Amino acid sequence: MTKKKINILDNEFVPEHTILTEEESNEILQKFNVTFDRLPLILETDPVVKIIGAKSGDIIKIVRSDSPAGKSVFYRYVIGEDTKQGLEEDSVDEIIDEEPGEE
Amino acid sequence: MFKVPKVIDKIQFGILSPEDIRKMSVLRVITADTYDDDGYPIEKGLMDQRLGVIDPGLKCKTCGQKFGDCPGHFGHIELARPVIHVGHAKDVYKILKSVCRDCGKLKLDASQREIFQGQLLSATDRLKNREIIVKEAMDKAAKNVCPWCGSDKRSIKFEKPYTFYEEWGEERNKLTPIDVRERLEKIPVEEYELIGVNKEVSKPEWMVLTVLPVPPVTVRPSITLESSVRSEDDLTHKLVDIIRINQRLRENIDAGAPQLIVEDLWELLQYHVTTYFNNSTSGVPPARHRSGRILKTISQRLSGKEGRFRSNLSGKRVDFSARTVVSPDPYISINEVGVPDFVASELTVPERVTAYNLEEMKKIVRNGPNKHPGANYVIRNDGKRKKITDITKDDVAEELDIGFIVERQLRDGDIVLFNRQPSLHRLSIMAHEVKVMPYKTFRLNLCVCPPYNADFDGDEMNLHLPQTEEARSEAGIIMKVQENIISPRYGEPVIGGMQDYISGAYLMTREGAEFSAEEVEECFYESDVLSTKVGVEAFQERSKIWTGKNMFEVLLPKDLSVEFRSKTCKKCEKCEFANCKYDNYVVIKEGKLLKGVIDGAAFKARSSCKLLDKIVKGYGADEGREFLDSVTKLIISVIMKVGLTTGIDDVDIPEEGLERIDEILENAHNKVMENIEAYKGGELEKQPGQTLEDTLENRIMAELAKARDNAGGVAEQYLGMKRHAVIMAKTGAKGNMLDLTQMAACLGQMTVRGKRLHRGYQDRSLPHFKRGDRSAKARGFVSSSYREGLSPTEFFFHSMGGREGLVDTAVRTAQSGYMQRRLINALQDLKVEKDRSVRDNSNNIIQFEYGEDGVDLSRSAYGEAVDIDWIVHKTLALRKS
Repeated sequence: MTKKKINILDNEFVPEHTILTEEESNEILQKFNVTFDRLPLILETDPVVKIIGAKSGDIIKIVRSDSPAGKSVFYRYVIGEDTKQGLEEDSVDEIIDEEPGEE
Repeated sequence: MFKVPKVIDKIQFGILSPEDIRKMSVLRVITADTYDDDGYPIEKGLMDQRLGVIDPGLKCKTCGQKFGDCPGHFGHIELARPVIHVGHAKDVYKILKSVCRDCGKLKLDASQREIFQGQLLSATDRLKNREIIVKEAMDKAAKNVCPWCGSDKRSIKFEKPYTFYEEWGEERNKLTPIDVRERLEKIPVEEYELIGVNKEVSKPEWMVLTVLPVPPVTVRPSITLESSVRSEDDLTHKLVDIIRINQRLRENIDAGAPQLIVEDLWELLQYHVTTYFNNSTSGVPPARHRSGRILKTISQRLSGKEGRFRSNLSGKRVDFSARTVVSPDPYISINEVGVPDFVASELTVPERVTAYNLEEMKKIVRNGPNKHPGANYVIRNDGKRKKITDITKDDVAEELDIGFIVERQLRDGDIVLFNRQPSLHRLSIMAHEVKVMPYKTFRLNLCVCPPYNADFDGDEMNLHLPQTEEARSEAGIIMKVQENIISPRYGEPVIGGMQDYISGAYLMTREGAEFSAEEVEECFYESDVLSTKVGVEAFQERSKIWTGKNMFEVLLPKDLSVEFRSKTCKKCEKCEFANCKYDNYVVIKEGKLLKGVIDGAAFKARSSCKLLDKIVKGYGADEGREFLDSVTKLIISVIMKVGLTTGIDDVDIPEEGLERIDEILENAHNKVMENIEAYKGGELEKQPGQTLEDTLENRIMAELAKARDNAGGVAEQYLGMKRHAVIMAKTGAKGNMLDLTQMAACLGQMTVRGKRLHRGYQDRSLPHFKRGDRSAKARGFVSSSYREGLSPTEFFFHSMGGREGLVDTAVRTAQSGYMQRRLINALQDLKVEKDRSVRDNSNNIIQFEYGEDGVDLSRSAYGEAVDIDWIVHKTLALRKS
């Protein structure tokens, strides 16, 4: 079987992603008065990120038009795979024996 | 008023050093006993009087203070041999792994160390914080051979909960706590930050205990039972065990006992110290009381729902609150809550006496604590708090001056918060105005039941009384019931009519409902509409006949114009709108109800009810409340005149109808048998993706569902609007037509897990049937109706289906409760900032615009800024007139 290459950007459920220029990035950071690490994150290995070619350190603008009130804009900061492990806290066993409450 | 005794500036966490423990200790505990035969505390025992006082009247031998003032003092136990602190065992393991067994240095070479230290210096943000760097460094070191002294590579094995082994090649050597402690001691201070230890407050070797603190007796008070038998706290029991074993261990060591015995005792000491900290450590059998009850030790005191954090720190019992059963009162406003008089005289509001209310306050104080709008305490200008009694009330009133604070009793119009658990959404706590009433229950308007999810089968609710003027006004402005008519979740009313209000509205406004002037006057009088909305002069002409619509429109805003389909709408193929011949299209113009019947579609709670929605959104919460209050009162007085009842004859169907239903069911049965024959004969075609059995089952299910629907359809033809049960179902008051057809025609298929019933016996559901019988009757199809009554097998099948429903609801509530808790914990400190972005407590952005669209459903028109349709409609209506 031959694998057909599919461009996921063509899928109607994939919202519009664009890489911001440095200028635009600074503008956003200034607008919300934050540093880049306060933004929501996205992995460099994310399928869409790979396709549009964003690199770790970029800021991506996502325009979703399927929200009930029309267009909604979102910004995400691209991080490399290596930075990821720090975020996946191995805290699974540290959420100690919290059994579902029985009332 | 309230004095803050101490202000906590900061909290520093660290590990207690043995020296610290000895320093804070007032006594080395050496005796395992508590009291002697005379009931006197034994010197140097666990109940030594230097450890604090728990008996009123005695004085502390350390600080000289009385019971209640003395906070208690720590003692200590010198352990004969060190033991691992279970709480630190995992950290000890991590450190042992990454540290050289000989030189104690972290097994990283100079360049690697430098990299990690550099990272630590600059570590601040959330992508690279200290914990992660330390973890990386330690993981890396664990894999290395010591680059400093090149000692051979031996791996450390950790056996939960507190045993360590060293392994090399085939050999294996147990590390005693002494060995462990030695290795930790060897670690140079410079390495501390790379293994995640704060050198200011901790040393790694302190994770192995040599001295054990003994908590003050005030932490573990003994209780005296009625029979004057002393019962000790669990912690004391545990400490007794520790001291006893410690003693034996020391004696054996001193006597030069064999290694084996010493090791056994050492292990036992380790066990007792472990369970003293945490009695639910996995891999350790829990220590038990003599009675077999599992002891509650330190960790158990703190963790879980009944632990110190969740039950005493995050949640507390509060003053100025009340709880009792709720019962309905349709004659109070939705904004009000009926408070029993005996509750009102207990709850107080502090009110400052000013020149403007001096006389009023004097009057209240003169009433004393026992006559209702009275007062219980007065705080004078010198800060003295005085109780008002029947004897002192007149003197106190005389003395009353500007600046005094009177703790007056709750009275009509006070703002209180009213709450019903589970508090799942913000509407579970709303502000009400107090209305003091006789008897012992909180009274609640029926329209506010939906947001609280309250009914009156014994529900209890809580009431809280805000104590400051700011809190009260804030609650009144943003938490008032009328401000919450529109749900923030879906932007439609959650507060509104239900049950009898809906069917009553239908009975009142349906075509042909007419009332004499007397009746109308009476209804208006009963519902307080007379003279506020309608003058007496409207009834001068006594022979005038009022239609229900005429009565209803009295309550509408004078310039309201709306049109909508009523709930009873038959959904004809071609809608005639205003010319609907069934009177199911409501037309309100300029506050006149021209056409249509008022029912669930107009003002039913928790539904998209057009009329109430328009009134609240178009005229404001005040108007909405007034409409609801008056319309409900009017409707109940009307429904009491008209009457609404239901009985078995409401689902009676004439003989001819029953025959048709029987025929439908008989046909379905035959079709099922045909399918089964086809299956047995191998003629059944397989459906894609299903086995032959699945195909058969699906066909039978479809056939039977169709039969039930058809039977229901036939029944429906005979169930006209003359029957009150039908009125209730069609108007949306209670029940639906499916319920009625189940009563009148046929119950239909019972299922468990979406399948026809098949389990119970071998290849059959009940022994009344043949094995492998797939017919409708044998697999839980109930062809009887509730009215007819069920056959024994049908009854059993029905209860099987019913049981599944019960189990499902029980499981669902437990699961959703837990999910809710986790969700709330995850979202609790998100907030919307000034720039409308949503952020968490460390300023991370969660959403750039609240809800990604910045819309508050309860303050917008169905998610849009303006409701264009309605504005157009209103303007058109205005122009036409």
